[in-house]
Amino acid sequence: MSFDDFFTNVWPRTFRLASFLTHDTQAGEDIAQEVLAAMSQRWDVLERPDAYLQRAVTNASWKWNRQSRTATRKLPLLAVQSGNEFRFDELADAIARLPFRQRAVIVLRYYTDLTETDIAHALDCRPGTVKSLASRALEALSKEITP
Amino acid sequence: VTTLEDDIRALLHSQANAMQVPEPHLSRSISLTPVVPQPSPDTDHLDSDELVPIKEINVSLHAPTSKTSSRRTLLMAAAAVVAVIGVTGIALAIYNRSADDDQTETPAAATTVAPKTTVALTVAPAMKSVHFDVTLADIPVTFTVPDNWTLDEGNAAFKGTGVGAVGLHFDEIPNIYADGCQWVPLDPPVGPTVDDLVTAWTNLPDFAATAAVDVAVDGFTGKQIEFTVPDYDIGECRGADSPVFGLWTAPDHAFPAFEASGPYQHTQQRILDVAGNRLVITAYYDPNATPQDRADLEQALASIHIG
Repeated sequence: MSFDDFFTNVWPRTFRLASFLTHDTQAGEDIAQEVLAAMSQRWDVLERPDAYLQRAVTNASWKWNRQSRTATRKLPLLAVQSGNEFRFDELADAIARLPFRQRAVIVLRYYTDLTETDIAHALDCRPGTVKSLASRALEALSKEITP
Repeated sequence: VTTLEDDIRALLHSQANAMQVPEPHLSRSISLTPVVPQPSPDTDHLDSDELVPIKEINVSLHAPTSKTSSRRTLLMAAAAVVAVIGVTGIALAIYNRSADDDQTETPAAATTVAPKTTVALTVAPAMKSVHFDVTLADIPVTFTVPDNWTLDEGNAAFKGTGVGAVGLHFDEIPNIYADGCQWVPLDPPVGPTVDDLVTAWTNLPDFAATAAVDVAVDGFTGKQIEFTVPDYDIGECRGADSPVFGLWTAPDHAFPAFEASGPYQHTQQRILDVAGNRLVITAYYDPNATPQDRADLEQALASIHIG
């Protein structure tokens, strides 16, 4: 696959993943662009471009979050099933408040459907840590939202 | 009835669909295909020094907002500093030469500038100071590790996760596994004291634990013990798509809080009593860890302060 084809294919989900991880669509666009631009320079030597992309986006988003920026922006939400709006609104706020790595596990697991091994690779941690992060995140979310 | 996980999945996909995906654009062409400024009817009347290189225009249009601008500003500032230093050095050399015209010229004036450059280029090994509040008792610990180590979960610092891994881990260790591969915890679980944990490790037949010796860290006393993870086949272990060999459990006992980096991992534990709470400082290395990484681990271990 050429880089141009790869780029066209992954751009939307790269932008969305970075936006989820930063909770900022402008930052998401910047990060997606920077990471893909860097990948274009190394395209010929990348053995697992998808895995590299996920890790690079996660790292770049982590750095962005570390620069004392807080996740205060609210991401847009499409209309949801009747009666669920309030719960979804609460849930969105609760996810935004999670520590970065817990939020990253939630996004990588439930949005990008990565395996625990791939999430561990993206976060540079042990698979056991992914389990731990996911467990803590789900526990925090379940406490915060109204049953 | 939807579960929390179903709701999270639905929410994230709803948010994803609601995001306005910007038009894909990439500045790659700038670096791969240099743009040569071409005269156009609009610029024909301009003097050459008024022409702005088209390459620069493209960068500013495609570059991701302020971050790149800031970076460029920093690079320009750095370049300016280097230029100033260079000019100053040359000026000093010229000044020294003029001032010494009446004296016998020696190479000293020229060599006084060069060492300054050498010093500036010497970079000390990057280290970072780490502070964690560990265990359920939030015991404050600080230590220093190389900058390329990963910090994990607020209680671990390591380099690598498999072959060649080294790291430090802080925990209270509520219970250990009798069978790490199948995550079978000791039953009854380990008691709360330092000696309880020492006894538990010592009783695991495959770990070849050393006899415990007294140890003190920052005035907090306890026992030090060392053991080696036995050989195992990771393919036979529990853990869905990412099986692990667990060494001890998380507080809720649902999953391993710490897993081995591989068979024969060498593990040293300092099991301390910190104001009635058990604090376990684990230093570990894979048998294939490099001497440098092991030395870094020793240094990190020696730098630990509690409180």
